Amino acid sequence: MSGTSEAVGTTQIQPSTSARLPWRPPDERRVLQLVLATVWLLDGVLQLQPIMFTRQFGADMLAPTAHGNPSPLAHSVLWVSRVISNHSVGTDAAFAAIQILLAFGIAWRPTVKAALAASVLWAALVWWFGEGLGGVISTAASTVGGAPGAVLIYGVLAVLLWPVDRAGQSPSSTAARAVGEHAARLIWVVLWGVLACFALLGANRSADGLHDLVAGMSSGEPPWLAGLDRHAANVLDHRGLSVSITLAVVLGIIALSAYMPRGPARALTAVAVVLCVVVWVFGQNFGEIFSGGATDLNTGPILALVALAYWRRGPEPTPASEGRRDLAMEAA
Amino acid sequence: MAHPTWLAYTFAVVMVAVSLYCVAWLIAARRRNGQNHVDVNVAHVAMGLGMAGTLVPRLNLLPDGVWEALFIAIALWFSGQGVRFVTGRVGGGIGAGSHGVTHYLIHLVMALAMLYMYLAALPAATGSGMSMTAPTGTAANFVGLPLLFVGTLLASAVWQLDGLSRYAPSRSSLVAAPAAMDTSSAGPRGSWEHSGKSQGENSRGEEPDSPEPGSCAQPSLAPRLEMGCHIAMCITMGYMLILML
Repeated sequence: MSGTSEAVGTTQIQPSTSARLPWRPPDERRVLQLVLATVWLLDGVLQLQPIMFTRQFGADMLAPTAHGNPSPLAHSVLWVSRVISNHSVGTDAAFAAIQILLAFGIAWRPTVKAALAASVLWAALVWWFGEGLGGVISTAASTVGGAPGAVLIYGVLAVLLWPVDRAGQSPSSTAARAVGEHAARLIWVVLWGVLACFALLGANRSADGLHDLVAGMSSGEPPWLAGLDRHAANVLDHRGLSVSITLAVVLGIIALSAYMPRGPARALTAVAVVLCVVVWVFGQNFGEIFSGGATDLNTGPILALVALAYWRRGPEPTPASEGRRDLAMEAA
Repeated sequence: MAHPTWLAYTFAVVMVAVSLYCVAWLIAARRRNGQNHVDVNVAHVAMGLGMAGTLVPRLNLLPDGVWEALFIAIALWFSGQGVRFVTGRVGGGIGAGSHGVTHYLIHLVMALAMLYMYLAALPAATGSGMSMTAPTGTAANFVGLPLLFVGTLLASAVWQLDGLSRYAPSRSSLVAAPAAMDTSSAGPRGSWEHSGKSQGENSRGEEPDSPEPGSCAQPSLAPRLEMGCHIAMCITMGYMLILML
């Protein structure tokens, strides 16, 4: 576990005799870390739903993710799903406890590094064994449906919110603070570029692919949401290809926004957040949380959180302008 | 769907423990004459016992109608306190050491969430299982509301945990070095190591629990345990609301 001193990146000594951390209110990155902790906490509590303690969790929710994947991957997913099915109560309680502890660890400042590192490891395990790599290899991936898997984005976010500063005095965004400007831009381009590619994969290109995806989600949802699904499905009927191409183009432009000036980049980040919300509501039905079998919120809110981590900051005040402001205040 | 009884009992035991602690807190506070947070602890006692009775019906002390009336009263109280706080701030009548409006808002949300649980759910006939089930009919159209409650409650729990970090022991204090005394000019820092002030910090940069001179606010009694109770309550309430989605 990281000690306090390591977590803050410098040796901190209290001038007083009190052996406490010097308290600072949360900054932008800390707020995003706390939102990530809230998401992990929600996932942990969702893991305590009654259905998760039954064989159904392993057999009906995890095992199907093996479908279409290469044999070694499919076998490993099926083996894990069998183990979970046979020991559903113990394994599910453990999964819930792990996710709740991850949330606690991120929220508790002295353990934030350890918890973020553990969350990356846990995300990798769940992405492999619980999500079958999000259907990426099986070409069943769909951007609207939640590819490449929410838990993978959790891992990416944990890296982007790592509490160190590598980008110098004035990083362009919160994400750049942890990994540096170049790496942050590369991650953004790859993430949104991959999403653009997934929008054009397999069934997503067919005339009824998106219609079928949205229409199929209405089962088990509350009446108002099922009605919303039916309307959205009607709009998408026979328009799958054109909507997918449009989505891919928008996602591609968002990917390139990492190399744009601050104004257009901010506008496209806002577009990305709005797009995430629209997809989350119409394409992911709030992560199907109302149907009683959700294990997470799906990719919509997590991608929005990533986009917020990339919100371009305003120019840092220069010493000269600070001096002018001080003089103006004195004059006033 | 059948729910693990042990889980309901675990949450119920935690809630009873929280309620008993809050009762003890109220007694201790009364002896010390006029502590802050009496309203919060009264609300926690009611909510804790209410949730324990919902999780394990044999622990239910009062009829549902009484609970509903109680939580309406608590919601009205915190609404009134919130309004009073906001109007007081506008008129400059409340000191900077007082709580922010979020303090009242979160307890209002908790009271409304309890009310929702009683009004929207169908009570089970008898038995030791949880007496809450998913809402049906018209109530099923309002599942967005409990989701909003869940998000708010879990965010509040996480926020409190972050606040608890101010009580974390500093390992570096054991290896004091005079050169490191100036924390304002040190090198790269973690996310909470910036020097700006924001809403949670008072004018002297001290932790919010320290009251401003001249304000009527008093230091809270056992703030860590109180925050722990709040966290436990938020998570339990969030869990119960998720079962109702």
